Amino acid sequence: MTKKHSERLPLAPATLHILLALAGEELHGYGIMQEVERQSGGCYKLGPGTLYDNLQRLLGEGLVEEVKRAGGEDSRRRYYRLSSLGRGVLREEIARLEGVVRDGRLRLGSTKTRTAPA
Amino acid sequence: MRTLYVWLIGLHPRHFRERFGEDMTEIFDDAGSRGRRASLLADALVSLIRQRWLRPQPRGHAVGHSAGHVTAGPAFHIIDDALPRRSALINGAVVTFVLLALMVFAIGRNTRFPKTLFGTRYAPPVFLPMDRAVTESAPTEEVEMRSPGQDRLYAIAGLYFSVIRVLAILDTDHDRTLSAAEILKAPTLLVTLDKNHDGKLDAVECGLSYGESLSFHPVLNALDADHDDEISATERAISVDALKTLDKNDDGVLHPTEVLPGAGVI
Repeated sequence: MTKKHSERLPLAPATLHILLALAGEELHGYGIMQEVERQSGGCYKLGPGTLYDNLQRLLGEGLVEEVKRAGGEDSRRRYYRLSSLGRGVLREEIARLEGVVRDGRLRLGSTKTRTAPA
Repeated sequence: MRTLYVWLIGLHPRHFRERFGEDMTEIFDDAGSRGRRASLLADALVSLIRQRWLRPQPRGHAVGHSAGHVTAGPAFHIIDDALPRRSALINGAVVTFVLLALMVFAIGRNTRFPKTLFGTRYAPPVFLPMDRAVTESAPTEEVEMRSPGQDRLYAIAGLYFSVIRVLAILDTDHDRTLSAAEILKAPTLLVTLDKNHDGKLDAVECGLSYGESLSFHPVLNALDADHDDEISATERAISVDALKTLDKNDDGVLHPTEVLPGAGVI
């Protein structure tokens, strides 16, 4: 029996960053590491151990797929892409995070209003 | 540093290192600075712990079941399929070590655990102050070697101890010597010889004939401080110190040579 998308949420930071990195294009391991670093502005750096440990789990859960590339200088490298399941989970996680951001802004705004001097 | 990194990857479960080991090594080789390589080492260590203990994989786990599996040759291929998984061996060793450590700790703390498990309980030896003094003064165990003459002396002492009730009652372990512990118990043990409950021990209660003098017998002579041929309650109370005066070699023990009449000249 497959899990519902909501049962996989919230995603761990490493998982979220890996799925986000793969959302745009197929990447190999080192490419994912670079993309995660770029997306986070250098704040979040994935080591290969953490990356492949998470990739293995994501492959097992079917959120990420391995892609075979024929020919070329990169033929030895393994490429990964987001599966349709992974894309759905990422979409739900982003929707959840949007809700968190919206709720956070509302609360911060209302706090400011309440605490503002009359 | 690279050797250590490869070694750490080699410790990962087979399915993991076969699939990702080569890529991880490549990334390590691309890492320029020494600091970056050190952080990758730490990362590999964390990954190893996760893979070994947090990501259990069933034996014979199929690798590459996702779409487009790349069939490149494994970088860390091993041929020991028939052997137990290394993770199982490591887990077993860790569990065994932890259990042994717990057991040693429990026995050391003298808890109820060993008794429950083995039906017995470790009891540390109880030392009386004088026993401890004797033990500490003689840290190495010495085997007492007796000459034929000493054997005869101990045989005579056996008869003497059985006749003199004071010695018989004090020599609780019947080894024909009075140990430090036995001497310490003298005030309590001597009370039991007071059959007529007059508070003192006369010659008969000490194991001699009626009217016989106590002074001939070193132990009785030492106990009878005022030499009135009776051991009073007061003399009984100070019997420990009195007996210690017979300990000529200061070893804390009264040997037959120190308690038998005239034995000192043998």
